[in-house]
Amino acid sequence: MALLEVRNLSVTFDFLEGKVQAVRDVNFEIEKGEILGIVGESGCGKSVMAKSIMRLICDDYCNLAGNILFNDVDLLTMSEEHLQKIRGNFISMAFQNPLSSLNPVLTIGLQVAEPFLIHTDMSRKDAFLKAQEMISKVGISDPETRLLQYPHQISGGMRQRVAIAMALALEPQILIADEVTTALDVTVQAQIIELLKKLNKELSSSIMFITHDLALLTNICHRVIVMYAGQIVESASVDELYNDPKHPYTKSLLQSIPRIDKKKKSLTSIPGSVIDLRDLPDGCAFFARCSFRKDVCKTSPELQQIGAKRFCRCHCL
Amino acid sequence: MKYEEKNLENLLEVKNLSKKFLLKKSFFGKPIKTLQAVDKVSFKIKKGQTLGLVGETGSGKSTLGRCIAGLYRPTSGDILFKDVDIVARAEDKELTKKIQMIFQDPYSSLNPKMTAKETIEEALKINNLPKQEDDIISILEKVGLTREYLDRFPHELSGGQCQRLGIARTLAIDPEFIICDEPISALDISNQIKIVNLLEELQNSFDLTYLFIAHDLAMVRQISAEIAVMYLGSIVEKAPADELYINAQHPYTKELISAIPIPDPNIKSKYINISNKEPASPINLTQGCKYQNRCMYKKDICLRAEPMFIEKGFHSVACHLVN
Repeated sequence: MALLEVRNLSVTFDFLEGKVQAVRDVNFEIEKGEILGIVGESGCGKSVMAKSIMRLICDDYCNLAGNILFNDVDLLTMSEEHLQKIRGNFISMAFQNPLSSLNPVLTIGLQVAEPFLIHTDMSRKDAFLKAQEMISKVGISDPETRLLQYPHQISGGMRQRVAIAMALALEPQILIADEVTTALDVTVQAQIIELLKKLNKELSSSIMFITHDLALLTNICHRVIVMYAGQIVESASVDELYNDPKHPYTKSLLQSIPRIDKKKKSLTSIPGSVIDLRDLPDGCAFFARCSFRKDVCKTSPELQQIGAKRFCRCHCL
Repeated sequence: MKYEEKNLENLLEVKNLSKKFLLKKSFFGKPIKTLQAVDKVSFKIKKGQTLGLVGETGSGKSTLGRCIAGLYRPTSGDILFKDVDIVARAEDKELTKKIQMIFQDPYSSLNPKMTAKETIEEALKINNLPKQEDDIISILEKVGLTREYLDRFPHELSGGQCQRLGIARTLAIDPEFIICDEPISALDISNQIKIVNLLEELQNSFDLTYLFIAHDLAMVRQISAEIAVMYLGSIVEKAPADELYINAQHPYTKELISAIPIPDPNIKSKYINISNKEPASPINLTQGCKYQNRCMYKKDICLRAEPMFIEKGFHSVACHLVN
């Protein structure tokens, strides 16, 4: 049985100018101990989907439909009080910019100890000892001094480690990592990736790794979901996706990334730009940018199963 | 751009450039705490070529770019543009306007209250150039925007279009040398490629020379003829782009290249020396090689003397163990 099951999830924002369908009928699951990658250009609904799993999106402006089953309990219909026990405890999240996700006026020690203070009966002293242990676990040297420092006193890579330490404090079953390495240097990025892999092995927690960097996914994920205009367009294991991409969007994404080990004659980008979610076409969302388009693509394609755990949304299969 | 051993003239030459920021001074004005952002950097750029400048956050790449653009006054050293010292003649607008800059964040580098037309008009007005609407349209067309964009504000443009407008503003002044300070870091992959292709096109049509600052090494390899690697304010290695990737010499360059993910699950990344060590601080530097606390090959000499970067031949390295 899957640890987390997302069924027919749709997220619609209500604006004065009209409705924005950020996530459209998304279905997927995460197994225990799996690292699932989610990739797509900006504006394809990756982050909104991640936030809606934690229900971090304000209900006043948006409409969440579908089911998010965590151990067979629906998170979308759960009371806020009950949900608060799940956040951080069973599912936790690390964000892109650690400077804005950490509180600038609280010490690092207090911020990492906070999950223990809120979710467990631990004494303050024990919570700080646990915090110190977490900080050294994520590879920060000299944890005693770091506990007393503030976020502005440490480097960007270290801040992201602190944010990950906070997210992993209570050994959650699922960690949602939303572009955690995007703001970091390549060397620090490599350190964070190694850290996540190590923690995945040690704690056997599942990771949902969101990024727009396809090259990075090969280094960490087991399975990848490609999103475009709020929909899943392809989902496959890493090997299948890279060796035999099926959807034209995945193909052109893979062709467009520059590689360090080979120099290309010229770089080809995907023509056009990401579709406006306020103005979705009736047919395939990728129609305007696709080089394989046919007449049939003016009707919307369904997500078809084309192999064990392999799905693709395209008429041209 | 392909690197060729041609006898092209040097457009820009930087000699022993240093920039220090004073953080704290004593009661009598004596500096106590200084930050050495750029430390005795020397290099040359040939006309019509692109020099890629890579390094991690805090390595001084942007400060170096800003010194050349005249936004910072260097503490010491010379910057020769067409053999004229531009540090001494910073007030000479006719000379300095040939050097322009493109910034990282396309949204914050544009004035949100100005339309595309006003943005370009302002650049023209400051430099006493004619500002007819037809001129502005032709500038916009150079970067792939049309006359429909004239009255649009930055918030009505996408990230890629904002960066195009930023480039248009730079081109309006008809520069010869452009410092591109991480122009693609804030963009999506398909927009990154479009901007890089646009910059290459413009280089070919207007014979421009670029200093391309970035931390994405794979992209730098595509655009640069030569690449210089910076670490804590100093250039540690400089070589033609392909040479650098095939035959990196400095331990830091090796570390940097090994950290770049390769989009192929059949090739496993082999990280070299990805340790948890933070770079040393540029504040009150200690003696010896700056990379010593992260280097796995360090010897006694590395603790005593700082290796000098001397440009000789086409591949130069600042490391005791190589030289």
